[in-house]
Amino acid sequence: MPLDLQERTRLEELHPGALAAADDLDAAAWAAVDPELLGLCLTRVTQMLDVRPPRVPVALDPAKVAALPEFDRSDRFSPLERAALAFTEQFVVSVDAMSDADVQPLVAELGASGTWTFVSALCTVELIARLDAVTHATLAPGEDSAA
Amino acid sequence: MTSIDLAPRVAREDTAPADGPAADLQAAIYAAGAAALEAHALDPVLTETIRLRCAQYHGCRFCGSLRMKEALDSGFDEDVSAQIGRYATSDLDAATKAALRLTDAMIATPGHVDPEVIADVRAHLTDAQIAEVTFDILKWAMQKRHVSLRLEGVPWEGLAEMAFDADGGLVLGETRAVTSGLEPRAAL
Repeated sequence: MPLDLQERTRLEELHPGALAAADDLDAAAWAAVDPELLGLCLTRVTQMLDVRPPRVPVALDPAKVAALPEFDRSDRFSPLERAALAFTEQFVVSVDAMSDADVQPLVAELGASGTWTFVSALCTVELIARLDAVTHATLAPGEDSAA
Repeated sequence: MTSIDLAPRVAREDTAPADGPAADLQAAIYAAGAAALEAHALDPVLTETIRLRCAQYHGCRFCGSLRMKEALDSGFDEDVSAQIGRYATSDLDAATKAALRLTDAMIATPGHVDPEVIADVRAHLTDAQIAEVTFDILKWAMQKRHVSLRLEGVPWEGLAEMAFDADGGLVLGETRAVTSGLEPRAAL
C-alpha cells in the first residue's frame, strides 16, 4: 500500500492486523494476474479517482500510461487491455450499472474463471487505493481526533 | 435494468479456483475480511449501518437482504435501515451521520474528501473508529466483484440474519419478511 511510514505506523496502532492482512491481500492480487495489465487498470483507477499514483510492481510503458484517458481511441492497447480498461472504468463509476456489454469482452479474452480472478484483483487494488486516499485525508499521524 | 442484465455473467463454479495464485487471492480476501472484523471500536449498529450504505451504493441485492444478528441484538431495525438512504436529513445521531459521510467519501470521492466532512468525521469519531470504517468498507465493498458479474442474486424471500464465524466465514440464519420496527425473531 502506498501509504507513507507514519501513516502505516498509525494504522497499525489503530487497527492491529488489518494493515498486514491488506498488505498480504495486495501482494496476492498482483501475483494472481498479469501485473502489467493490472498496473494499467489501477493507474486508470487512480486517474479517475484523482488519488495518488499507485506503486506498481512492474514497469509500465510510459506511452501507454499517457494514453490511458483515451485508451479506446489509441492503437497502443491490445484487445485484452481495451476490454480490461473498459471494464475498469465502469467498475469505478458504477458497478451496479454495468451491462452485459461491459463484461462480455473481458470474459471473451480471459474466460470465466480468469475474469473472476482479474475482477477480484482489480477490486482489491481499487479498494486499497481508496482506503489509502481516505486514510491520508482523515488521519493525522500523532494527533488524535477530538472525539 | 432488464432481467437479462441481472443474469449471472459467469458460472458460480468459476469463482472457486482450486489452487495456485488465483486460490491464494480468494483466501487473502477472506483473511482480510476476517481481520477487518476483529476491531470493535464501532458498535454493531453503526457497523451494520455502514455495511448497508455500501450495499446501497453498489446495488448489492445479496448484502441488502441480510441483517447482521449482532446488530439486531443491539437494536438495529428496519426503521434505522429506512433512514440510511436519506441519512443527512434523518434522526440518526451525529456520529452515525459522520461515519456515513466518510463511507460516501471513500466510495464516491476518495481523492477529494471535503474538508467539512473531514472536520465532521474527526469531531465525532475516534481515529480507531475512522480506521475501522475504512477497513470495514474494504471488506463490504469486495461484493462489487459479485455485483459486476451478477453473482449477487438472493436465493430467499425477505431478509436473512447473518453472523460471521471465528474464521470470518458467513453463517446464514433464519429468513423473515420485511417489516418495520422490532419483531420477534427466530434464533440464528
